[in-house]
Amino acid sequence: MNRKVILSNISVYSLSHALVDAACAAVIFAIVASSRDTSQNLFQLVVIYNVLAFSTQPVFGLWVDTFKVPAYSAAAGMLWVAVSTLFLSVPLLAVSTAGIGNALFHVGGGAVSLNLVSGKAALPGIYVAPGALGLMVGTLIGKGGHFIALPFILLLVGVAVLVLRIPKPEILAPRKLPGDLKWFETVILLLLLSVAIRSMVGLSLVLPWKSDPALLIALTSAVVLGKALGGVLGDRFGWGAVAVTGLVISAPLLTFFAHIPMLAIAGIFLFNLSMPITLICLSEMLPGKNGFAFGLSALALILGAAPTFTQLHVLTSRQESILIAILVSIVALYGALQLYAHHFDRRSPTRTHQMQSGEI
Amino acid sequence: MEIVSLLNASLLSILPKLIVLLDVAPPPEEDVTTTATSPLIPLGIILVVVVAVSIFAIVALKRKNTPKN
Repeated sequence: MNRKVILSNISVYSLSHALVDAACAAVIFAIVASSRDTSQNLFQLVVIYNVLAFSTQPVFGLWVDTFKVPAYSAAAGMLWVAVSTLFLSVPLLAVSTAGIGNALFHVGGGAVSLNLVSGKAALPGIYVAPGALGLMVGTLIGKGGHFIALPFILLLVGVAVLVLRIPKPEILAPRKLPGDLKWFETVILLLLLSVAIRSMVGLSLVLPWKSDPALLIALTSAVVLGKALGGVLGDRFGWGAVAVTGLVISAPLLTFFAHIPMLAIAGIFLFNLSMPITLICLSEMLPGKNGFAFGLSALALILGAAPTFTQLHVLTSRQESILIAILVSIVALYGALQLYAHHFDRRSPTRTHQMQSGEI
Repeated sequence: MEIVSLLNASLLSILPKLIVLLDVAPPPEEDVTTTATSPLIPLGIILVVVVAVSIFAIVALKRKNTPKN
């Protein structure tokens, strides 16, 4: 695929990812900040948003893959999010619209990023990474009571138009999955288990120092860099080496040194390296279904997050639970990547050839 | 005065029985758990449906990729 097409798409989708997540977070926290409703009802609104934003993605992903409309899905998602900013006085409508819009955007952008260079983790990582930055900015805007709908609407509509105008990447023809299909479900299940557990750990970590703005920015940067570099390093040094090593080193840092900001931030960086690698492996297992693969990982995220929305969070946030959870995640990811490498990865020579002929 | 207080006392004593008979007892205190989770039931249904659709799609993909003998 043309390098210019790749660069324009990844730039626009990454920036718009930050914008969409910022708008959604700003909408939710503006409602929370301005509401006199009970904390129970506000908590429900946050749960409704999260479930709609994450759990609907596999269905939207199947739709995007079937009709080959990732750009339209992303643009429609941005417009839905723009509309949600107008409904702050009707919180349920606002969070539902934002949730659906967020899901449509993520699946569309995810499918494009996975399709730009087949079999490479770098670009999906670069696409996903800015989301954390957007969430932080949006949360600060919403909580601070600085939310104004108009700038968000103008930016979202502008970027939606841009997404529709940039040259669209050609959608790669679906290929047959090579290998021993006996392990097909096992690999997918292990990958999703690894995502779900990492999601639970991420939401269970107690990091009291993040109320310090400077440390919050450092923490967010670690998430962004971890996701962005995880794919690049994984493509360079091997998916298993980077993802599993990162998780192994992060386990003690996040378990025993979460109270020391610098060590915890390093742990968060290493913890996030595995994200684009898991995603690309899942997409390789589901050829021609990039939107569905992206959606499945989002579904695993919300299923993993579910216990933290309940009283179980007391259990999941305990030190030993976090250590056990990370260890299980390591075993699941290592098993999945090993099974994939031994039974399904038949494309290494082709990848080398593609790189020599000028592709990223 | 005594008659009034006597009447009140007897009324108070039979009131609970009357309430039971007429089934007009005030509703029990709101069950916080039920109230808190009930709006989330549709979300649970969405989750279950999406999980089912996803499993179905994965199985269908495996069938599609399985070489026919």
